[in-house]
Amino acid sequence: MKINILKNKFFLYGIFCFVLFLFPLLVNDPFYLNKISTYIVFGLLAVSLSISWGYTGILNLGNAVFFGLGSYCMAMSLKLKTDSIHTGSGGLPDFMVWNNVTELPWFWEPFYSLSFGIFAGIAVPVILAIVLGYFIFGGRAAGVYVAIITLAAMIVVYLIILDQQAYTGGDNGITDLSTLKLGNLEFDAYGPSAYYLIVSVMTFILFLTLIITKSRAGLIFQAIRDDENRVRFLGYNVGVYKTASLCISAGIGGVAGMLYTIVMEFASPTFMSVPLSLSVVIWCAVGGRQSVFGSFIGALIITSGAGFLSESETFLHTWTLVMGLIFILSVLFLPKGLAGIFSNKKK
Amino acid sequence: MDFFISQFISSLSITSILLIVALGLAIIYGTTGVINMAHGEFVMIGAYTSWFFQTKMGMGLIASIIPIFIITAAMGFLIERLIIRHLYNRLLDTILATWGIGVILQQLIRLTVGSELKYLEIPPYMAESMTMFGQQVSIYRVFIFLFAIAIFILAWFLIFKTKFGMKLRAVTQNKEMASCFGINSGMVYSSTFAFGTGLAALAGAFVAPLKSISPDMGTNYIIDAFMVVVLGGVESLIGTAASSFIVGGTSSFIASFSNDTLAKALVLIITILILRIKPTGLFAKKSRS
Amino acid sequence: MKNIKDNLIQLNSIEVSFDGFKAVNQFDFGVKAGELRCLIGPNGAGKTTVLDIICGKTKSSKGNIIFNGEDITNKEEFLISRKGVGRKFQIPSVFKELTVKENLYVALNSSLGFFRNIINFFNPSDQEKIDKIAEFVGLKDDLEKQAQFLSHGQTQWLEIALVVLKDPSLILMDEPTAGMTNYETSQTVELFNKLKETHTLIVVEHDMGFVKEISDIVTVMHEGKLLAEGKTKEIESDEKVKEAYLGNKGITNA
Repeated sequence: MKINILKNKFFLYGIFCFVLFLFPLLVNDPFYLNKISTYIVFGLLAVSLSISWGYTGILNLGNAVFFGLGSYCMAMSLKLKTDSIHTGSGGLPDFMVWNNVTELPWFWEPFYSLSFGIFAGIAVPVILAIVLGYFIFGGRAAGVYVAIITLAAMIVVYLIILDQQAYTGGDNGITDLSTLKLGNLEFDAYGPSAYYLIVSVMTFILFLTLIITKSRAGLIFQAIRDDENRVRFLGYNVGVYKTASLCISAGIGGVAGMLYTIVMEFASPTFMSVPLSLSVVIWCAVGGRQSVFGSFIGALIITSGAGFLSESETFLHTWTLVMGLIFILSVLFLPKGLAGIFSNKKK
Repeated sequence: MDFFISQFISSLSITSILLIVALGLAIIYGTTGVINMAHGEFVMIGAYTSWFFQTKMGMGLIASIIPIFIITAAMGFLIERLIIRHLYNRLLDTILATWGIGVILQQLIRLTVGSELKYLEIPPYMAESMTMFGQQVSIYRVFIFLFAIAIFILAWFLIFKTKFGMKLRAVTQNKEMASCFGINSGMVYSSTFAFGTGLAALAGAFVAPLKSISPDMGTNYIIDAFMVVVLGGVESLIGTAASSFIVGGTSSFIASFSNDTLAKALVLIITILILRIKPTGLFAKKSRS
Repeated sequence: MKNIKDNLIQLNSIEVSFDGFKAVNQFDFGVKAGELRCLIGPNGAGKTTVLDIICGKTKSSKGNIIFNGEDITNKEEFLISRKGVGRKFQIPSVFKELTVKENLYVALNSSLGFFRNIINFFNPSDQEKIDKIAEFVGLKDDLEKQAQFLSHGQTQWLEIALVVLKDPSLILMDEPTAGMTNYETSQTVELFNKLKETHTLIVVEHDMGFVKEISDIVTVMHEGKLLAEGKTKEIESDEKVKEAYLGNKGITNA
């Protein structure tokens, strides 16, 4: 039975995930595994944007906000589990004590439960997506406005977190977190367990997006991208579909954010900043935003490239410059990104 | 009453800067449909150019206005010719391309001049205060306000009273038809883009002494300017001006009670709500398409 | 005076203004079920605007629209579509990046809600229905082609297929033969005659030869108002219509 690997996504994903699972057998260095984990997490972030932008045509310039919110939710739960050495008197996180906060704010309380933290890591971004969706898509805003408003929404959340430093840790973010513990399993950021957790979640999400994109709803997303008015005149409530697409994007982004907190061991406002959002757009543009896997690989290649070459500041600035250039070139000449080269649509 | 007057006056200079930035953005977007995400970076370039002229070449602010405009407009012209003109058939991608340009401009500054904050002083002959309506006001801020009004009038004159402006309006309405009448639409587009970016640079040059200069100072302006354009629509210059004052004024007003962050958040929320009701902006006209 | 209650769709005193300009002015218009009505008139007469109002693309400032006994005035497009109104646009609008098959799959008349569709996948009975409609519009051999690579005429037919798939009781067509070759036009005539039996159609057209071949009754608009209405032969010889639109040489020369 001849199976063209590239054309059958099911097999492609399967083999890819299998290889990644085997990776720790080759590579033992915990530092290295940790780095690979971060690249995979960025890959998932790219997947999140691919669903809303590549499939549905919603250019969410503030996409990192879902990632950031997810990471903060996980961080809050992990912070509340730290030993009393790290927290101040009365079990308050250290930064609150330093800011003369006397009581744990009401919105921190539920995060004592890790289950709630994980639930919130998905629910909070999704709720934001619903609210944004209602106002932006309900108001039939044009593509330009959607892009600007989503960017502005992210900046507002970013500024609020910076501003309310007594409750959020401000500029420093939330640091000194305890290690994630699920039942008897401990997920040390620099151990294979965290890596396996991330690859497992990645596998789940990749196959989930496969189901979504192959469903009729997934096709309707693409139809909306191509001609949303035509979709309307076929009887579909386009606003609902767009919001749903944004919610899926938010959920995946939130999960990616939670995983990121686990591997980085802190949460910071930079996780929902303009540079990160822009980077995600570049990963998707270069990898191919209309392809989930293309976006994923785009992110993987670019972030691992930067990571392996150097960490010096001058290099990073130059790398960003080069990325900007590659971005412009791909917008001009390769609108479908690298995945477009492998596209199998017939003419 | 005093409070409101002083509030109003101090908000005027910030609003004036916003007006100049938004004007450039609105003219570019209204004419060519290009969403210039690098507009904020041109503000930044204007600030750095001004800093360069003043600290390295000893030129005063007033003397450097024209060179700053010309240099930045030339940059804008080049960028339009090299990159943007390929994207007129897919306008949404201009967001991406111009964002990339913005990144490149930011990084070039970081790699050449460095990321540390730079500071400029207010020109000494404008550094003092004067009394207006019983309040102490910085002369420099009044100057900015007057200059913004002058720029607005100049832009209005250019667009409605000159031959170039007529060509601009023709091309805005229908690019192909205008070409059929012998108008060099490509040149009009390039010049418009250049003009818009030049305006942004002037705004940057003026705001530089008021705050610090940094490679990422542009990001703030792009959001605010777009809020103005989104609210005011691009149909009329008056709409842009009115919108600037509404956004700037509301923002300052709220900031006086709480802080800048809350002000920004509220202005954004209000904008989203208004868009929900009037998706084409407050001042747009209803048309067939 | 027609019996207004019999009409499938009835427009009463509709008025649409764009920034002061009255595109449609005090317009009364009714079509019986099963009719094929042509709407003609000079450019700018308001014909497309009338279609826009019926399907919800534009809102009217005055008057009302009754469809199948229900008031659909200024309702949202997708709701009007669900009530059984289909619209084909002047500029063919299909899903360019999707294949013909995928285009048709989107339009297949099943559930419209998001949650139903997220667990809805392509199955053999869908393929049957798609084959049938593709045959009807002559696109059977192009199912795997991306829609952007279809010829202009084929794109028009694909859009017609999308509209017909939803089995609407009222179909609105805006210049369906625009840009078509003579051959394609004659094929479209066949298509329309087939549709005529089971649907109600309102067709905006400029090609008078086409109009003559398909319509029973013709409505003429001029400057946003009703100019004349009646059987094709009557309209052809109507003085007002000749002056405003057809000229002196009759319908086939317009």
